[in-house]
Amino acid sequence: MIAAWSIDSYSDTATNLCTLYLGNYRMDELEQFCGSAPRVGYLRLLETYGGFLRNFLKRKFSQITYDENRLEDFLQETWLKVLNNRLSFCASSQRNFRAWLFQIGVNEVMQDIRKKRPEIHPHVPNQAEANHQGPDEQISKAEQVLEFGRWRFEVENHDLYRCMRQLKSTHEHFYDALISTYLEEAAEKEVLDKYKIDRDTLYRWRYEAKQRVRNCMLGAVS
Amino acid sequence: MNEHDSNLELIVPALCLPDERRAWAAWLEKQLVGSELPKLVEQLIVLGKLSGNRPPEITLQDWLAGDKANILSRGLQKDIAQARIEALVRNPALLMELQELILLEGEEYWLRLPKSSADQAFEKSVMQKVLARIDSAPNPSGATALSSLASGPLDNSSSTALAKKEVQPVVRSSSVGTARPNSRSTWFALGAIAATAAAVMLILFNPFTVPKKGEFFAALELQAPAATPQESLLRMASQVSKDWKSNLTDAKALRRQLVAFRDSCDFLIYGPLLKSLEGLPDEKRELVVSRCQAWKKTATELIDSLEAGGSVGEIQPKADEMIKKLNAKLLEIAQA
Repeated sequence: MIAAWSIDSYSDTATNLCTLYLGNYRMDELEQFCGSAPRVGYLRLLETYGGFLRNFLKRKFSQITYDENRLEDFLQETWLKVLNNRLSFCASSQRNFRAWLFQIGVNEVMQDIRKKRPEIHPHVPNQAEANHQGPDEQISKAEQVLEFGRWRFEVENHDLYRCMRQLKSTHEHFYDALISTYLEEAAEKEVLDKYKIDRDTLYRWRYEAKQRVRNCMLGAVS
Repeated sequence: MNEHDSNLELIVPALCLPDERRAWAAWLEKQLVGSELPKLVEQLIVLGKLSGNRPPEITLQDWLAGDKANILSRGLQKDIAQARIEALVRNPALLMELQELILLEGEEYWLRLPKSSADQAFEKSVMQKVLARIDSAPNPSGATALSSLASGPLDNSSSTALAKKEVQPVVRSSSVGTARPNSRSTWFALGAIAATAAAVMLILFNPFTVPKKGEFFAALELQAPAATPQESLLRMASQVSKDWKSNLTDAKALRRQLVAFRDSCDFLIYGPLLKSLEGLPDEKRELVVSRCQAWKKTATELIDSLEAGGSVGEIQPKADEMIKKLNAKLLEIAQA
């Protein structure tokens, strides 16, 4: 069986890029960034949004940003561009830092794609087009060619699948205890009744099961 | 979390789902702002397949069920039924969609959730590299590409330079019919004026330099070199005590004091004060930085409490306590 879906629910969220919330605390940081303490404001923005930007790029361009070193390069460049364009951002009447930051990040990755694979991606929108289209449309276009963000894997070939099957064949009671975690609460009661154990034992069995699966996964990874 | 747990979380995050179902919401929140969500979702799909779980397909809109605003502002732990939290685990694809929503629209609550140590380390590394590139860039007057890219906009001198760039077309159009734009003398004069203005602005407003009336860790007095890192720590403790006022009765004044303290922490976490601790063993320096991050967080929480309507009488003692502990910690590290 192939479990697959594409991360393509952009249309719902594309408009949200323009209507993001800015709380008091964030405004405070932006005031510093655009006002008298840009360095402190910049550091606080980096600290606050660093993780969000990383996850956003990881999610949108999973096939490229899977390599953490590459992702780190994109993040560095994006944050430096944030500095470089501080004045134009701060001068705008409707400041929306998160949307602006994500747009810069997307542009950064798209430029890299254009540089490295022009034959595959003949047209990358220029700045005016990009502003008009928004990042999601740009990504969708790239996706049509390169299938960025598309995520496919075969369940049966997954290491976890094999390790769980192995556990089931050697320690079925541990397996039952562990798998009941992911089912409705009634499944836990069934395990308690089936093996006539108390909840503490159930948790201990789960712990044992996790140890075994972890070791199996480590073996699979190595 | 012990070493085994953190190891397990990196390798098989799905197996770290807490035994207690009531703890799932908090755990899922952490995953939703973490970088390992795709791995978790993949593993939950595998476990779902193994368990024979066939949940009814639902969309994110169905799952949100009119609670979107509540979830974006308050997370998953408030007023969200346990059955809906469990539905996320049994429909892992929803987690990916929910993450996208949170990345784009998640409010303060989500932005401030604690991060895993691996994510913190990664983000710290990015931040340090960005700062190193900024700090290693020559002075804007050196006019290298990097300085104009990185250090430029942070200080107002190069903001002037950028602004000059932006107004260039205006200069050109206004010169039509008055002076010849390509006249050597005109450009020379404009260049001289801009250079002088940039130099003046650099002296007056360069935010990379310590503010003239800095307080706490940003105090000008702390910028003078100390003979040893221990001396530097003692001076920091003494400076913070000196600047801290514990008898404030006005909420605005207390807020201002807390904000000044919080922001000054950056001078120790990222800035010049960190260099003054270079002689200390790495673990001690790390300890100072991590403590400073904790004080900064506490100060932010106190500011939030104040903004949420907390009384000065209630918050000032907490803030005093924080400063007292800070002093004791700095002295302890210096004397250890």
